Amino acid sequence: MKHAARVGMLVALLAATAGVVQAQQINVAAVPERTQIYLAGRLIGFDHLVDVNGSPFVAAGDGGLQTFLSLVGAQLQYQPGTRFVVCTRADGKLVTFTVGSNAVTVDDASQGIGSAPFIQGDRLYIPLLALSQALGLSVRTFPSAYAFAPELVSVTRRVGQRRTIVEVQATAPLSWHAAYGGDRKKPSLVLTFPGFSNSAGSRVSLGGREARAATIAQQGPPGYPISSIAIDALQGVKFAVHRTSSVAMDLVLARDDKDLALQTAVAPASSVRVGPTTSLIAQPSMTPAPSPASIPPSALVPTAVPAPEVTESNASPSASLSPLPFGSGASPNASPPPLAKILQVGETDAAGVSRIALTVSAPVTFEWHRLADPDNRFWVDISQAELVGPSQSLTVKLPTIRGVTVSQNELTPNHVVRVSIDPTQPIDVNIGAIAGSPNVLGIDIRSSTPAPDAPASGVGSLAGAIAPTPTPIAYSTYVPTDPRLIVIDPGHGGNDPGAINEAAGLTEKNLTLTISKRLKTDLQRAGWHVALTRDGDYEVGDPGGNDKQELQARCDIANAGGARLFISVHINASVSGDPNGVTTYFWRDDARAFAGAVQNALAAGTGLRSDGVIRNNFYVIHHTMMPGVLVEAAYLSNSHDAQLLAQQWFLDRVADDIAQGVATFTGGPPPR
Amino acid sequence: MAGGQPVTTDSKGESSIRVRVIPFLAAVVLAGCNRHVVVSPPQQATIYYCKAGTDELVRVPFSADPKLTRAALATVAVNQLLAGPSVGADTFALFPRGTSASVDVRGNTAIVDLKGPIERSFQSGGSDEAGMFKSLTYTLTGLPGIDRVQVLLAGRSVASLPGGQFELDEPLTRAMFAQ
Repeated sequence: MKHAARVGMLVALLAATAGVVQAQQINVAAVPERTQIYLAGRLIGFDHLVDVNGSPFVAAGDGGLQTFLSLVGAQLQYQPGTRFVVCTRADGKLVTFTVGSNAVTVDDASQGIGSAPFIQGDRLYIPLLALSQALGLSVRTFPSAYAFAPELVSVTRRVGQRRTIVEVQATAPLSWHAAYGGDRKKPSLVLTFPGFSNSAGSRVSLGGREARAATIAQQGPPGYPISSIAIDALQGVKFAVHRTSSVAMDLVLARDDKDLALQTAVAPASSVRVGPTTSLIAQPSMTPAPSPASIPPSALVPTAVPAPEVTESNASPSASLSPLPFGSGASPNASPPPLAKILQVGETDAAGVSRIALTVSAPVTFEWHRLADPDNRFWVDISQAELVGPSQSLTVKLPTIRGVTVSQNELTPNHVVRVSIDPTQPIDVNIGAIAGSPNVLGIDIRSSTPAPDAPASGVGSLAGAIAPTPTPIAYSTYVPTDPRLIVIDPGHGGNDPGAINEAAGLTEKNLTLTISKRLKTDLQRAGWHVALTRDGDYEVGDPGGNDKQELQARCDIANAGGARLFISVHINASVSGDPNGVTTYFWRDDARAFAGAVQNALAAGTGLRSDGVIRNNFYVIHHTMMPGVLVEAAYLSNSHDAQLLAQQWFLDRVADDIAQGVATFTGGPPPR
Repeated sequence: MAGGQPVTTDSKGESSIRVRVIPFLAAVVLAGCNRHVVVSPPQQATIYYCKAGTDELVRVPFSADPKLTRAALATVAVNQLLAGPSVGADTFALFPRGTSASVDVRGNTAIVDLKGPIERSFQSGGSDEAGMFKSLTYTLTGLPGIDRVQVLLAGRSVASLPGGQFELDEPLTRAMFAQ
């Protein structure tokens, strides 16, 4: 039976069986005022939450419950006056409760629950723990809080002839960050799932052809788990990440681009369960989350460096439980806070201590993590923040620190600025406001071994920062940190084909990639460093992300790299078959001359009609900080232009001409 | 009821109403003959079409019912823009065929909600995309009291069209198209 039909029948049944049901003999009390409900690190406010025999129950129509369920892709259907509640999740999972019944039905199976749903007044109350458990959420209980989190349920390997697929299943709509590392000889990928728990670290064998294994782990405080899947692949292997449903994704490993596409022609080979399908309800005596910024007091800095002021956000480890990194006290329906800008990054050294000082435009929250010895890496993620200017690599005097980087880790809905510290041995770090400077977040680093029981992660905030009207730094002040770097953006890609000429068998995303690769070679030959925003047929941002995230991800690559120039390559098309020729677009005035140089070279080199240099607000040339152009090289919709675009020599010509425009505008890369 | 008379069902009563209504109607007709007929002039608008493959605008005057509200006039004008002119429509109708629009006006901002095929992946290039929004902005800001145009897609604010490049998450003004 189709899912919709099942739900429809159930709802009809509810209406048909409507009636007044009296509450059972139960002990109902208001929950303590301090009790807080968190889901994946977010505080959810409930209007009608009661305590039944020590367990939270919530009214079916509660707005907080709707928010809670929407975050895990579920919704409740309840008709007042009836005695049934149906909860459906986007992937088809069906959960039903009946008033007075100590059982919950999950899909077609019935499970016992401690206390039955009941009606009090005109409200029907359902058990929040049982509902969450049925939806596959993990639960951590604390003396005054419950912290729920969706789970990674399984990681499965499937094998094909020329590729390996890692299938990931979760209990809520998946959102992830992908960090690609290594090089062609040793490519690596770490997928991070913020807010998702994973009951135990595990390992999945991947057979040894494309990669040997995937390592699954969980970090973060209990209230805000962060799960990850790390894969070190073998030489020449590429990765592609595809969302297959709201709660599932496929990670494809292959050496050939054409094998990276999403297919379903492989059979299961082996699998490992990562955590139980039903959630675990922890005992109340569980260790609470580390307190905000709970760097041990032993990390106090010498007097030569002003010690960070211990503020409310920088409490000692003995401070009260703080299971949540973000949004304490936030309304469940509150819109995200405005972005704080990281206006300045500084570094100072004193005897045995190095301090990273971040000047912020407004209050910020952050979380920090450390990896165990011998890795020892430490990072601080500042949420809802925007780094003004390019990424920065800092050199500190401590000999045990290889380097510190501050960068925009933009492929996340939270706009995270990350401070990464790369030490050679264990370090102690203290984070907090600097006395007398409420808008400066200080990160003090010492070369000393932290206490054995020192926490591996924590959260905090710089709540006292004053938020004046920010003074944006004008783009004209932009100074590239890598003046030899040019970023090329092959337009479209993945599930966005761009323009298509079916008769000629041409698709814009393929043409832009071909031109961009040739342009990369041209520019490298001229002495430039070159980065492509994509080197295959895939989305640059999260495949499930929206258009803004996709376009912004391309800008982030150029901004984070501190590039000298940005070139977005496109092929034009029109509803009319008449238009033809080449056009170069710019947005800011600092790119007008650059656009002119490229356009002149293109028109002269290709011999096509010059449609001119035009100023237009295209996203990628607006949100990149360096001079940027968007090139529309010929029209796919024009038969003459399309004939040219079908020929490799013409695509090479376009690339060579753009490279000539770069040479004219810059005079070549700066000397080494 | 005419003359304010109660309806009765007996034949005498019906006859009584008819007798009183006829003189009343006659009086109304005669009174009308003595008046000047006042006809309100139509509202004038200008539709700015953009020629495909260029950023050149072509102005076409447009008349509308004088009784239309500002928002209704804006909606009519935008749908006329989407449909294209009567001549050379294949060159000037840049929006995907079948796209519809409704316009609300709040203060000096016209909020245009586009629906239909435009919600799917945009298949034209940058020149058509920029031309679409340039013509939309000029058409609406040519109406009295409108300076800015906020574009929504099926009721939602978006950064760009799906697969598009032109930035839409902030209101458009004529100044943004200045060269």
